[in-house]
Amino acid sequence: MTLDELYNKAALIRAYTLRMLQRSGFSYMGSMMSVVDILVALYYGDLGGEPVVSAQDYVILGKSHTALVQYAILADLGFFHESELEYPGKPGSMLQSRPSVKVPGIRAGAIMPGQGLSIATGLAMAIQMERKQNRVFAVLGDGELQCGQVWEAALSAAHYKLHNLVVLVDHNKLQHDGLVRGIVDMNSIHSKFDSFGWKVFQVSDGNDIDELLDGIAKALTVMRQPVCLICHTVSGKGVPFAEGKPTYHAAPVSTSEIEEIFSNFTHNDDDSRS
Amino acid sequence: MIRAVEEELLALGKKHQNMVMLHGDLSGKCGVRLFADAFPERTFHFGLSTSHMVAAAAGFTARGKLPFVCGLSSLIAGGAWEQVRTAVCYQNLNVKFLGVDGGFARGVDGVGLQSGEDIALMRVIPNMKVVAPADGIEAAAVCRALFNEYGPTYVRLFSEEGGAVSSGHGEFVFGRSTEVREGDDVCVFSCGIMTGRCCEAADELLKENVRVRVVHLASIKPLDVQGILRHAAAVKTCAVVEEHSVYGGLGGAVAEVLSGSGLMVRRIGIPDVFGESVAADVLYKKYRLDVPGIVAQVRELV
Repeated sequence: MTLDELYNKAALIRAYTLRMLQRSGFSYMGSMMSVVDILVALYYGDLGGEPVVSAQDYVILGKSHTALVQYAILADLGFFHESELEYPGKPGSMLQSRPSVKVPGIRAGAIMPGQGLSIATGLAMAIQMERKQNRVFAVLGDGELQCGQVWEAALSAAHYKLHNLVVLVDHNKLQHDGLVRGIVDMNSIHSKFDSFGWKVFQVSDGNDIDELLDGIAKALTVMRQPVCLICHTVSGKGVPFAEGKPTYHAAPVSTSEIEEIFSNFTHNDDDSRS
Repeated sequence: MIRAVEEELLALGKKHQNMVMLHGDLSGKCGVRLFADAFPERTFHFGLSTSHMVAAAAGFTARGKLPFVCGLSSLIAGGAWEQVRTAVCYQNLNVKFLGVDGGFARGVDGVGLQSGEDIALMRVIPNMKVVAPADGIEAAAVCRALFNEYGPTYVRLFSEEGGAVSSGHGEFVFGRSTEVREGDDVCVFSCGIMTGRCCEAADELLKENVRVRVVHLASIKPLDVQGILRHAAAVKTCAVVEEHSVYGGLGGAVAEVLSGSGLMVRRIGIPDVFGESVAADVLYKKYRLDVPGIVAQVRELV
């Protein structure tokens, strides 16, 4: 896909996600918006003509509360019919609030925060044991780094020199109750992963798919170490009245808000970005 | 029963190439030793990162591996409970948990490593099966059976040999109970190494003309519901004996089955207390979970 096509895809996924939020009554609008570009880069991006994530690779969504974004992408990619997207929040839905292996397209699912990197590490260990080249991409939240288990996994991944494991941290600076640094300050995420034996890169605009792809390309050149990409993002990105605002980070979306968003939303082949 | 488990896991490892072992500290006592020596590339030591280990096991299943997660009952069932619940059981992944030395068995190691709660913690999780074999022969049979039934399973093992109960049955079936002593005065339901002690107690009581039926429930979940009702109806009174809290373990499970039946059951086990840092035998004696203690408690019922 060209960059314009990727930007358009991101806009489409945002639209799907916002509709699902409104229909389902789920929360975390701002947090979902900040991770869209990371997931679009992974699932749709190319590097040198090859998909970033091939059919043999894995994407683990550690920040599991943003599952609706992943579902929108999986439906768009044809893993299941898009009519399934109408059911989150309704009894018997295949799509629950957190992603599990019950969903076609999800081969390993993290339910609770802090679990995703463990699962991704185990997966990467199994791949290494098989001496295969498959890759594992784990998308974590920055608040999620407050979970001790993330660091258990980080120790493990460095111990086993899992260069097939790439973590992308959606560093939107917010969590449910407010600014991460006001609650439990993570200080330098970079130096933490670095001291745990990881190779760390920064992506200064984690909502710019071009920059994300550059970062991923760098990550894939690293040997003998797992890699962490710290992606600086904006909570609520793509929804102008919500960008950067703590109040929208973990909020649901109301009907009137949806109407306001979509009245200003443009998505077509002529626009480079919406 | 660990030695028998070690040998069986080695044999199973030779047969099943997708089998991997994940374990924490005290690996020498958790059944991994022979497998680890033979298949170091399929064995992973997680040190004290127990929660991470359980979720990592979920990751292994995505590559078609069958992980055996081995460690102390207190750490697997207690420390990593949330991971067991959401990473594995909610997603119904084929991970087998071998928990060692629940109850008072850790003795001088104290309360932190003891676990009077593991059966309750594991059986209350949907999709989880719970098994407590009586001795090495049955434990080995359980390991083999784990390959016949898909799904998360918690097996409660003990370093202690366990009184020979299996007498060469060599077969374990989920959801089945085994009558190991006949009698109509009182029926004692038991699991794990307590079954051996209950058999000894039954033999003692026979000398006093008290006929004790001992029914071994290695399969705690799924439970042989029909069998329990049938046995309980055939005797004058019944009891459950376990090395576990009287709340929520096998006693709780049997009481759930018998509730509404009008039949009485006395739960014998750890009386809602923590242990302490003393030899396990001292605790067994103190809480009347050794053979003389079981004899006395069962005699009180008749």
